[in-house]
Amino acid sequence: MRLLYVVHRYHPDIPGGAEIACRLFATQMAARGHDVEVVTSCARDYMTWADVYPPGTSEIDGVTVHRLSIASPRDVERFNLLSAVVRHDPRLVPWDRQERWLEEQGPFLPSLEPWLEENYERFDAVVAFAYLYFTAPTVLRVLAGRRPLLFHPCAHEEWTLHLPLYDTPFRVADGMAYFTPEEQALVHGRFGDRAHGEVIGIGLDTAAATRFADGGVRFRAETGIGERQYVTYVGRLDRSKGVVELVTWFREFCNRTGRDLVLALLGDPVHPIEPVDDVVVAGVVSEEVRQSAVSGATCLVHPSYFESFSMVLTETWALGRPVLVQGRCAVLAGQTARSQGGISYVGYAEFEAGLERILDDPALADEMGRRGRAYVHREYEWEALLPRYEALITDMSAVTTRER
Amino acid sequence: MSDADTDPVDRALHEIEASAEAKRTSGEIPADLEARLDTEFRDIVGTPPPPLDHVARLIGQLRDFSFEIPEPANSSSIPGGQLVHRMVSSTLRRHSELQAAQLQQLRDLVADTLDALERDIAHGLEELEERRRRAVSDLRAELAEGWRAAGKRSSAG
Repeated sequence: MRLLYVVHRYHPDIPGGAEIACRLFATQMAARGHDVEVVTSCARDYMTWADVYPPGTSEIDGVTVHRLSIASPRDVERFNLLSAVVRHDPRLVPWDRQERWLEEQGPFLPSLEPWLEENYERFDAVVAFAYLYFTAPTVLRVLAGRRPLLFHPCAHEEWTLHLPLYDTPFRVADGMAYFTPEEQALVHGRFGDRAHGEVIGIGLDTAAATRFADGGVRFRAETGIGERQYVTYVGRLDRSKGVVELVTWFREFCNRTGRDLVLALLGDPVHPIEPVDDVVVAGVVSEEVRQSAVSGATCLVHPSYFESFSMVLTETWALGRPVLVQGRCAVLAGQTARSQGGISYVGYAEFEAGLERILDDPALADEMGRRGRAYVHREYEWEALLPRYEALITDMSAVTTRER
Repeated sequence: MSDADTDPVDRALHEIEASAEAKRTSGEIPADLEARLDTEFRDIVGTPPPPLDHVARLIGQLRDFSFEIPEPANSSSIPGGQLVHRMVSSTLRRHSELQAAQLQQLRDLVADTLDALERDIAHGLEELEERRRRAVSDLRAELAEGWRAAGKRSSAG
């Protein structure tokens, strides 16, 4: 098949979840012999969308990448102001203001529509990623009915999902690829079930994801943790990810229980977290150090309130470690319940009871890690996942072509 | 025998749940500690109050309103005046209590009426919102279909 992927950012250095998912799917499909191209922005930073990578055509891991320039970098202050107005009651915002908001959300690529008009006939199907950004609603609007359109919404419960602006893009897609049953239920609840859809998830190359597992030897040496027991968090160090809550709860836990335990935070420090004796802020680390850290942790804690899928969970399970997750996030709780690879907490009492149990019962922690690993092998190995994904695109295309 | 009895992970999850509940009910983890630790969650995820929340609050204040009847002063510098004052104030007090009882009845009647109105308005708003949502949803679905049909035509042409 000749496939076009459309996404807001695309580069191996970009850490965002939707961007990584898109790159993985595009690369895996190219490796399976499909002719895969991507159209995207030149941006690396999602706050300003400033052009960093050169515009034009290049190749990344067997995928042809076309980069388009933005009109101008985002004025973050203006965008925040406009968002505050739009957020007040998304359902009542005038249409033109919603369109302006989407352009400010960005990356605003004025040449995307002409590019699509000029090139779409070369492709058998078009795949759009992430409902939130300018790129996916644009491609769905421009190519609706003209090419089979598969949509990975990357949706979770948030106010933007209720903007009427998104009603049409969600409804013109010919197929929907969901990451989890919880995301599917959310989208059905908001937009109805009108397209051919399936829960696909995001695949994992478990051999690569465990290549540097050393039980924490390298991580302990690099951070000076020594032999102390530690739990870890991997992801953006951001309030919206629940990291501030995690640090507060962790300190409360240590004060109340008197345990000698370290919380190791790995990821981009968007929100400044002050390192203290029990909290180590390792920041952005290499893949080697990350795998070492997780493989040696007693468990991984995931406190995020908003997720449409957690690759960090599948990677942790591939390394055979259990997780302690935010139960107020339906997706994290759902993934954990299905895998039996950990514990969900909804309040501090569950957090404390869960963490105590994991610390006191290493056999249980190991068993949860084993079940998580088995779940990942069963559901998320690319070899298991890609045939389902290909079938979804083929079935969707067949229906669309018949209709045409 | 349930899975929770036989499976070690299920059993552990049940035990953790029970342990958390015991920490709460025994006061080992007080409610105000959990409420304080939930601040960040409320700040980030917090939902706006329901649309008639302020009306319900005012009705609650009305129900809590009580009518105070001050004790009349009985002292007098005139000989025998205190007796006269006591007789007059006793009559006045009975009269005031009767008025206060009527005002309390009126307060309850007004609060009941406002309660009923608030419920009806809230119900009406919900119904209106649901009808509006359905109508907009149907319209958008039609629009999306029209959009796809237009795309097909332009593609075929």
